[in-house]
Amino acid sequence: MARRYDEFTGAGAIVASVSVDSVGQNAAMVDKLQLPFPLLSDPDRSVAVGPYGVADPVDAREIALPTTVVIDPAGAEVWRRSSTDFADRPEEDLTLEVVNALDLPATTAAAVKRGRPEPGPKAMPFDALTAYYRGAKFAAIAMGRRFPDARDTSMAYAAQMDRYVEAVHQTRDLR
Amino acid sequence: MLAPDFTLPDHAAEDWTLSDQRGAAVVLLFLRGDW
Repeated sequence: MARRYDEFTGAGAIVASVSVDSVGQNAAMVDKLQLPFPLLSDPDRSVAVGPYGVADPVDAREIALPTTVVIDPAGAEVWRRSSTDFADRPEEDLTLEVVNALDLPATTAAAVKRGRPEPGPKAMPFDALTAYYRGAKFAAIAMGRRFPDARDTSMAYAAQMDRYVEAVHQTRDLR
Repeated sequence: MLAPDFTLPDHAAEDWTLSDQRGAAVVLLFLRGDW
């Protein structure tokens, strides 16, 4: 599954796995196997293993019987296969066929663009920031004059705006 | 039939919730784990 992960995301699936091991054991497992999908921890067997009825009936530890469940975009279970014993794992080809039949767009992390964040078209231009903070400063001073009880607070805001203006100038020098 | 919803910690101890994945298919793999 780890090797064919891209085929599953390409077919519109999110892949997640569950075991009864601890978070720490799962972290080691993901690292060892380089799993590209999350490995969830259900040590009590009560959150997922129990409700899905996949505890191995012949294993006293109640570990999960290897089982693949496909859930559609509305949250309904549409398909599942369990292995008959430890040497028999559910077929990936069959699983992929089921997902493909749902006819979904790719979910893929690869579809998410990565890179430097860029300001959107509506972002305030950098050069407008000084005027913006000066406006806020004078608004704070005006409020302090109008409401003497709030004068100290207003002057503190005004001083804060001076520091923002200073920060804008320093940032401009770095660009 | 609606699949039972659940929230479990992933291997980084971040919560993962099945119902947060609505809109995509979910392939849920139950594994034997580290035995």
